[in-house]
Amino acid sequence: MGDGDEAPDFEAWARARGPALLKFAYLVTGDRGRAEEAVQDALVSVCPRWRRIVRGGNPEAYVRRSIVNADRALWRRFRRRETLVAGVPLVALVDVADEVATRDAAWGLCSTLPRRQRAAVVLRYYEGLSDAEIGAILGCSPSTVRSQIHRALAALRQRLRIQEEVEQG
Amino acid sequence: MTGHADPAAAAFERALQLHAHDAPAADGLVERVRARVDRRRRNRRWIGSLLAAAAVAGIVLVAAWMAGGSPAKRSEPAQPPPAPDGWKWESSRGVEVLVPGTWGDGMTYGRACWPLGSEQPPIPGKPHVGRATDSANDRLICPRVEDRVSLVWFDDYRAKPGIREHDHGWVEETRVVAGVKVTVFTNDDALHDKVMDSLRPAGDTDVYGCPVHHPVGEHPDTRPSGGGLATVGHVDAISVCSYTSHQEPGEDLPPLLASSRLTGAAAQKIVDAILAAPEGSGPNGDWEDPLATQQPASMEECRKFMDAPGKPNYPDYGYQTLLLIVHGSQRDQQVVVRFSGCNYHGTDDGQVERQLTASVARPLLGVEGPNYPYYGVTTPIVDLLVVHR
Repeated sequence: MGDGDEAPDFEAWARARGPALLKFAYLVTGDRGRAEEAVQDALVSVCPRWRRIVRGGNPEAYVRRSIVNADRALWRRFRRRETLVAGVPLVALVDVADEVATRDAAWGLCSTLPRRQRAAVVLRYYEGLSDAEIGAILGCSPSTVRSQIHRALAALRQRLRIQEEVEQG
Repeated sequence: MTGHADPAAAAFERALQLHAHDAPAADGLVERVRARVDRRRRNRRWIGSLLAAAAVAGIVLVAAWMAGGSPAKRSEPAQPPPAPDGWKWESSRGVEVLVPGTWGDGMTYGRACWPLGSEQPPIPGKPHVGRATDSANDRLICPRVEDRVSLVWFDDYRAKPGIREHDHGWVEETRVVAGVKVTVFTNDDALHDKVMDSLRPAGDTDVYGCPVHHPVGEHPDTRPSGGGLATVGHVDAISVCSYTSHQEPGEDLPPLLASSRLTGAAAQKIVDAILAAPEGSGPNGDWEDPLATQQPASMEECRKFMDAPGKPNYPDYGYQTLLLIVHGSQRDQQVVVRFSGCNYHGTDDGQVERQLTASVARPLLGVEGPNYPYYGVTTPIVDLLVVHR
């Protein structure tokens, strides 16, 4: 697929890492179709430059960054309906077990987070990466990563508190 | 990974582990990537041949111009083919179609309902024409019949060609014309037939006089040729052509995203406003917007965001560029309007670069028209377009 002798390396790498990349992309996008597209786009983009990216030392980080950036929707503030983001239906959580409700609240909150913040949460709590490793993938400082994760946790705690209040009537 | 003492952290971990199982399988992934890479290489070879041919043609044109010819002679403004009373033409990606004249634009009037389970009330929609941007997410067919509106969607990337019958007489049909998927969704059989019967390839130039292919689509830094806007004479008409560099995965569609046509006083007013604008580019500069949540808060952040894998080839210019084809009494002149990137906002007639002003931006990029900034704009451009913030 690639030029000359790097072709087998790229294919072998893509085959080996494909499942993990698709899981990452799905957790970041929350949509199977978009996840597939994001991974495909990222791999198509890196293939011609594979040798140089490998020389850079961290192809996995490069591809993951491409996946996070794959959402071509830029800034939607000017769109009049931008605030039309699905809220998490708290009421629907009342009648289910606490464990499931808490987990669903966490997943629901993920869907409302901006793409990069969501990626930071996935890289921390699914991949188990450090602030520095997450920062290298997202192209930001470890302190920014800490701040984004802190805010996501605070939002979830607040959501869980509201949920508890609803359940207690 | 170990368990977390923090219940919130533990909840994130459990939720992500659970939902990771829903991720798509990797079967065939490498083969699909290989096919796309091969296709891209073939296209590049083809474009290389085309550029070589264009270079030869360019030499001939330059020779003709030096011999006294003009590259921007006056032409008669393109007259759109007549539309039935109460109807208008809409064009995108090299195909065009008739829709009722009252229909709006999908970016303004689409997404008219909230997903089921939402606490938010539905927002009244309006029949509309939608275009490529985030088609899968933005083309929303409301589950509640009372919230549905008729629509036509160009480049309906995810739709499968064919007819899908919904409840209460609503029918959704997707056809492929000139490689573009176009969907019509309505419960009005007569409307459906009239729209579908009018659907056709645009040819090289669409109903509003816009070339379906133009270099600014791929290269928004392209500068127009000709003597500039100041010497076109009285303005008869302007073809407003909106181009995008974006392609959905696997697609290779013409870059013409939308088009319209201005005539008479409205056309003259735009040209006057462009000529009255300060020279140089702008508004670009740094801006501070503490309320910004989904767009960059500074030019530096904008560039960092845009100059990354998976983003447009020209971060400073963004995804979308307007081309104005001004038909003057003396001659024609093309003008490039840049607004969708991080920098270099303004107009360029090949002689003078001028700043974008509200008098230029609002009539061209306003929410009611088809040349809306589909891919978003930075805060300085928002400030130009929004009357009251």
